[in-house]
Amino acid sequence: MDHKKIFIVIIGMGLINYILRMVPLTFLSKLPISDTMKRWLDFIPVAVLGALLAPDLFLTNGKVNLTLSNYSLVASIPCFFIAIKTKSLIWTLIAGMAAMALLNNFNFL
Amino acid sequence: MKSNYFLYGARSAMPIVLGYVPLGFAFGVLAVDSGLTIFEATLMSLLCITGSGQYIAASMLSLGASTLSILLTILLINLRYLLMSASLATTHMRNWRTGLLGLISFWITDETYAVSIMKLKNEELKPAFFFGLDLPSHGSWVFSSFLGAAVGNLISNPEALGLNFALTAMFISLLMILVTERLMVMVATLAGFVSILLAAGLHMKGNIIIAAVLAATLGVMLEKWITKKSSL
Repeated sequence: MDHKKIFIVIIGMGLINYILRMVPLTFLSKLPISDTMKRWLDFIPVAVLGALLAPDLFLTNGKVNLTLSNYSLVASIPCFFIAIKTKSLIWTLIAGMAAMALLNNFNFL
Repeated sequence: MKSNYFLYGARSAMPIVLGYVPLGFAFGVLAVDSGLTIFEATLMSLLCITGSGQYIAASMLSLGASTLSILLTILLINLRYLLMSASLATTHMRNWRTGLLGLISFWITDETYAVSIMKLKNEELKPAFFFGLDLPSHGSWVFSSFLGAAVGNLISNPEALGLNFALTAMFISLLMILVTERLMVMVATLAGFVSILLAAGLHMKGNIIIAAVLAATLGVMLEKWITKKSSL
C-alpha cells in the first residue's frame, strides 16, 4: 500500500468535506435570502431525511427488498408507529433498537 | 431557557453516539482490510467524519483507484453537505459570529444536522449546544473507528445489540417531528422514492442530493401553483 497516497486522500477528503460544510453556512448567513429560496430551504430537512431514510429501509445490499428478511423495514414499523404517537426521539430509539435486537438474535422471521 | 446548553447538546447526542459505534467499528475493520494502518483509519475518521464517504474511499484505495477519482467521488457523494449547511443558514444561527459558524460547520454530518435542524426549528439554541452535540458524536466516531481497526478481528458480531438500527430509528423520529404540513409529507416521500430509484435502479452515487433538490424544488413549485389556483 502506498502510504503517501493514503495521506493525500485523507487530507484531500478532509478539505473537500470541510469546504462543502462551511461555505454555505458562513456566506449565506451574511446574505439576504429571498422568500422563494427560504421556502425551498424549508423543504430541505424533510427532503434530505426522506432521501437518507428510504434506501436504509427498502434496500438490502443495493437491491429493493420488500420481504420479511429485510429487518430494517420490519423494525421500522414499530418505529414509525411510536414516532407518530409520541413524537419522542428516545422512545422511538428504544422501540427500534429493541425490535432490531429481537430480529437479530432470534431470527424468527 | 436551558441552564446548560452544552449538557443539553450532549443529551441530544446520545442516539448518535450509540449509532456511530457499529458504523465506526465497521469502518475500522474495513479500513484495515483495505490496507490502511490503524493510525490512518483513525486519522481519516478524525478529519473527514463522513461514514459512507470513508467506506467508499477505503474500498477504492484497496482497488487501486487514482487519488483524483477517489476525491471526485467523495465530492459528488458529499455535495449533500452544501444543502444541509445552507439550510442551517436560514435559522437563527445566522446571527452568530462567522468564526463560530466556520468552526461548528466542521462537524456537520447527516446525523448532527438532522438533530440540530429539528431543535433549531423548535427552540432558541446557544452555541454551546453544538459543542455538546458535536464533540461526543465525533468522539464516538473516532474512537469506534480506532477500536474496529485495532481489535476488529476479535469481535464477531457487533450488530447483535441492535445498535446498527439506532441511526435509522433516529431519522424516522426526526422526520416525523419535522413533517408539520401535508406538503412536507409529499416532499419527503418523493425524495425517498427518487433516492431509491437512483441508488438501486441506476446505481448512482450522489442520490441524496439529487433526490433532495428535486423534491424540494417540486415542493416549492407545487405550493406556488396551489396558492395561485386558490387566489383565482
